[in-house]
Amino acid sequence: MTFKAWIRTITFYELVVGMKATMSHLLHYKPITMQYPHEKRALPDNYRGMLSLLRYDDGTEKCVGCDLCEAACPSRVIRVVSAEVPGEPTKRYSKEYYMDMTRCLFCGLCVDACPVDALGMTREYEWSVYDKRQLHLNKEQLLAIGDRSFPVREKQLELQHPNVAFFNVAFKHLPQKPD
Amino acid sequence: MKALLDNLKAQFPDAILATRVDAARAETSVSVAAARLLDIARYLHDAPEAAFDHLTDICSVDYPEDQMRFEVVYHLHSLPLQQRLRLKARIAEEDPAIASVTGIWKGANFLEREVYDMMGIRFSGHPDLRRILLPEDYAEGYPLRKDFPAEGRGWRSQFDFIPRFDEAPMDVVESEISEETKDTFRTEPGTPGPGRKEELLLNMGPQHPSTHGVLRVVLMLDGERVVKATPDLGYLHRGVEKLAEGLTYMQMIPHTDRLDYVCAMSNNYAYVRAVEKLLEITVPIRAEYVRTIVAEMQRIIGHLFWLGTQALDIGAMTVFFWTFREREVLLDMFEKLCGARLTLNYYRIGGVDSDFTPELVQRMRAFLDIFPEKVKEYDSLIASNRIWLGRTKNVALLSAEDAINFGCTGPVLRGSGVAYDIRKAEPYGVYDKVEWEVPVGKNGDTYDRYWIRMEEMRQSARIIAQCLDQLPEGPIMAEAPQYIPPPKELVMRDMESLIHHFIIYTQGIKPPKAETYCSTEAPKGELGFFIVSDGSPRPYRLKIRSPSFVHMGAFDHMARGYLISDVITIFGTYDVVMGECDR
Repeated sequence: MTFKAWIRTITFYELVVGMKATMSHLLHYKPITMQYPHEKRALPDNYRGMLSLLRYDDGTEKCVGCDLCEAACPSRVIRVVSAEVPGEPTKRYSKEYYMDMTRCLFCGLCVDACPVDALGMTREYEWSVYDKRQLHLNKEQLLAIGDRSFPVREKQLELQHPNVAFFNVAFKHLPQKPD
Repeated sequence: MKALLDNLKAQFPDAILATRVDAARAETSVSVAAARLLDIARYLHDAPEAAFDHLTDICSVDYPEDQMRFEVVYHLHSLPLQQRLRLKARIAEEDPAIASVTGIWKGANFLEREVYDMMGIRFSGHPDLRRILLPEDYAEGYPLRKDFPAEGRGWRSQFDFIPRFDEAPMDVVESEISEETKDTFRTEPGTPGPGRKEELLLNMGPQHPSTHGVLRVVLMLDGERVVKATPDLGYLHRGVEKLAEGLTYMQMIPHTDRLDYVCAMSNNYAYVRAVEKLLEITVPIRAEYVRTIVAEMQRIIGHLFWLGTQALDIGAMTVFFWTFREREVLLDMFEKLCGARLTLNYYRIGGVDSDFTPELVQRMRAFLDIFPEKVKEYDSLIASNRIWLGRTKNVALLSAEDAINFGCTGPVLRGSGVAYDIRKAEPYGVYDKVEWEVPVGKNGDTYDRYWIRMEEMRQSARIIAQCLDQLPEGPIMAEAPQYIPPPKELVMRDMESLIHHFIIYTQGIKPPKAETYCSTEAPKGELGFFIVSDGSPRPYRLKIRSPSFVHMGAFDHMARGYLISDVITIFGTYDVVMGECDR
């Protein structure tokens, strides 16, 4: 052992270095802990939180009952019962729509799968409940989550773009092509 | 490789049934007669022209229609010659037994136990053939056989999953543990046992704060010294491999997040690479860059997490707070990138989910500016601290030969002085386009592995900085309409895209009939996916080669002779995550 190393050993040099780093933290850093229930983090727009069903700006539901979300879901959260819109044989909608959020993975594959963007992931995450049954959501509940999370709604699909695919669109709604 | 195959045929003319070279995927597989497997394995291990010193994985596939029902698949890897070989042996359904290769590769011990547990194939000559992931009294059969129902007792929505409080509680039988059950955890008759008369069997875990999950280890003690340590795995077993057989290839990605939940990106990466290799898709260059950046961010996160918890286990608390502070910065970036912090589901087959925006590039650069300083800070706390040195130097020594023989990979192998990194040996992503080095240890003790992980963080930062400089413009999803859904904007604009979108989401993608093994360097070691496809949209068999599981096989070897308090260091030095270990 060299003399220098010996001096370092008996003076606890490496502990002094460590304490110096700790002390500098005391002076130079503000606490980064967040007082959670009182202050909350700002979440990004693409946050993958609670799922919801969306509406168009005239208040009609976007969901067309195509079952793609049910097919895409890796843990079979979603159950859709689809039906014809009464009086409009070319149009369908989801008569019933259930989500068992107890087993949702929040992977977002259903949102990717939806062809009409009827599903949205909100920034809600405080969904702990005392009874698991409360996490079995029906269509009204999911629409209510969408209503409070997405106040800005899209236009009806057929009004968004002149060249939209003829998919689940009632013919009387179709905009006339300009001559 | 061809010379080796010819040699094999000359040596064992009656035992080599077929050889198959998959040129597109650069894989070679050899079918051998099960009766001669042990000789062939010994030849492949010993012969200098083969030198398959590393047993990557053992898995089994069930073909109920075939006359020889079970196929045992050995993935061999030669570290000196850098080649891989797949060895396959078929055995019949009645009395499924095959010779154990534990005498050649010690790492085969746990892998063979897993095959026995999942498929019911017995390995003659195995020293300790018990169930490993499932409970020992599990009597419902072997879950990975095709005749085992994939749905268990039915879907949870169909039976009452909420516990009823009006039921009478179950009877609790209080009894002593019988002497026979204790025998498995005692030392073998030949080896010198505890010097004293009274021996002590101590249960460590499954509820122990330092076991990084739920891991139980039965320690046979002589005073405070460990004479034998028997890991008891499977407390977190969820049957992901069976689950995968019922899911389409795309649906499996979120499930891989849950394997090694500390490093979800690495699992995603390993899985999508295996699927892309199966489908033979090439990923656009920008996506490759983004993937590499994100994977290296995840490596930094994984190592920061490891450093914090390892130091916390050993008794240094400050490091834990500091590393988690930096981890938080990276997690916030992940949140911005893909909307989640832990279970990310970011990689897609053929690309990535969302683009790396200029704002993120800026934030990443700002982080890289301060990060080397932070690593220096951690070093100043513990690198020369005498308590840290005392707890890590010469603890959990593993020689290079043993590390290879046990099938260790990643920092555990490099700590023992073997410069093997898949990113260098079989470059994927853009690792061959950036400059970086593989840190290698000398002694193979915990301190070396600590040093390697610190150095890897610096190297990862270097890789990210170069990738950010080189980051090209371009698409982030591959063009392969057969396998990849069309972009979302087109779905409601274009009829063909809409039909296509429906077909891919309802029917899934149909890969060619093939099998492939693809390994990726995860922060914990070599994470490999072996996929057998029968041409249907769901994998016929998906085997996950998880580094934590293989490393736990070396636990007994590494823990013998150390104190109980060192056992905690040894848990930590593997960087073991039980979600990945038990799958």
